[in-house]
Amino acid sequence: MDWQLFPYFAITALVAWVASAFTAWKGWRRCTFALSIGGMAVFMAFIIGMWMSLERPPLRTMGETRLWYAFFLPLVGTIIYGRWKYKWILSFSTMMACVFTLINLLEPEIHDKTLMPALQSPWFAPHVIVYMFAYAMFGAVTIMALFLLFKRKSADMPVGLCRCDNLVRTGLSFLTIGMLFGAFWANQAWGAFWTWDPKETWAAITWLSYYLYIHMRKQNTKPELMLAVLILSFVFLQVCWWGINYLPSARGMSVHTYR
Amino acid sequence: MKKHAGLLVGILLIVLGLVLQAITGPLDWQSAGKYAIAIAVPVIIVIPFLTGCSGLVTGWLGSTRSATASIAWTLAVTVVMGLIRQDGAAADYGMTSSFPGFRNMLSNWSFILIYLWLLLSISFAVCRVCFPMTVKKIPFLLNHAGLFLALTAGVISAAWSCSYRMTMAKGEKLSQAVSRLGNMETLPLSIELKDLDVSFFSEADAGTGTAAVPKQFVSTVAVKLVSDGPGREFQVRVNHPARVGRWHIYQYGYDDIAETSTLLVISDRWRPVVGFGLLLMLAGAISLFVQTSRRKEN
Repeated sequence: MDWQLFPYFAITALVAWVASAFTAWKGWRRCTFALSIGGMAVFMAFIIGMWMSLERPPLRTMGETRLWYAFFLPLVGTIIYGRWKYKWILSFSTMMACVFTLINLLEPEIHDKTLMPALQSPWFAPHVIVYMFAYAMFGAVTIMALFLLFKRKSADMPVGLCRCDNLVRTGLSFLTIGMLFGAFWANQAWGAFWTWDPKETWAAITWLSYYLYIHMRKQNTKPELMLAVLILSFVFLQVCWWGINYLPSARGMSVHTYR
Repeated sequence: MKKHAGLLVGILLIVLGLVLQAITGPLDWQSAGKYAIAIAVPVIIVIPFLTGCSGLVTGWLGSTRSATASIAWTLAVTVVMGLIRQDGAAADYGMTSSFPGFRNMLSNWSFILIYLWLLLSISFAVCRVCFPMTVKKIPFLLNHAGLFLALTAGVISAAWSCSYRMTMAKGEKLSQAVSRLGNMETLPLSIELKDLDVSFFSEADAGTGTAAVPKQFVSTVAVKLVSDGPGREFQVRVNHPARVGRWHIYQYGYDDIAETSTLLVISDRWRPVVGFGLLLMLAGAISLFVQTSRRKEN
């Protein structure tokens, strides 16, 4: 599989996802699922093709992780739509998948077969894939939080926060699993589960921040404050994902820094 | 007053930490800190069972309010750590004495006190919630006990483990290595580098004109424990450490001309306990997911 073929796969998948978002608003559930899954199958076919031709998981560069994020957003959207029937979620996931696919189309990277020895581990693929899935989940909950904070009436708040809870708890499960996979991998590679490398510090910050939300929900905290914590948590997540490449405190300090 | 207790406790601990920092300097994990943590952890575990969780202070420590406040403060001090460039490994073990010590957060008193509060809060919460135990409480127990175990054993492991860096040329045999603090020490084992094999990606794989990218570097070593009989031969490569008795040997690096290899030699008796704590957390995360998928929206 060549990167030159990406536009064909990407446009086919995006068209299917846009159509699935439209049918979700119309309430044509079967059609929605078929289109969404069809789009994902096309997108995944490209990822698998890249994996085979590169002879390594396409998870090394920022562009490659964007590829997975663009795949997981519609997957998360479809699961949430299936489980909790939120009509808006597929419009959001499609919009986000479009943004990430567009970045990859406009900024194509050099994809070579090299994979540094530390990344040659069975933990590599599950660690990053599970993380990307969690990131997609938190992307969805952030949009929901912004929507509740600025658009919704206060009467809708309890149900809205319940929806946020479900998304946060699911995202946090995956974030924890991804973080633990990373710890087991680090133990095998460097002889320590955790070394407070800047990337790890920001992973801990993100993790603590979402747990703060879960604990705040058990108290009589103001909804606006809880929603603000959700939005701030997503900012922390961005710092952890790509922000540390630019953070003065982390520059040249992290073994996780990649572009 | 009760509503703001978390805020006040946090401020108090930060101020107390700064005072301790000014008086004693950063906590030295290789001497005083090592013994302090060995005493503090059993105390934190036992104290809720001795005092119970119904008193004014103990009840609050096991409450969601204390949990939320301790997480918020832990988050705040960790953000400080993330935003301020941290000094190197030696500094982590209390070798620098700057005030307020934010460039060395792992040895900073305020940071340590806030994390101790988090641990105490988890300990009291487990005591409060999990007795009597029911099936429904299992995810709570797994998440909290797992985190507690991983954090406490992790700190003990960091303070009590031995980690050395050994750089050796092909054919060289060494029993001395550089410790975390940069001191040359003699180990109860000797390592001989029999061979170092470095392979690179081909130009076709890496792209023309790019620098050579290493595919794998493998050290063939003969390791002999002082207390043991004949030595044993191992191949050590990245992600594939070797184990001899209580020592683990990791491939850490090599020089540009592939003549010398750098190995990490680590002895850490607490690592299995940290691993067990992380496994509990893994089970907790899975159970959180299962529990969430069964939740009804109301």
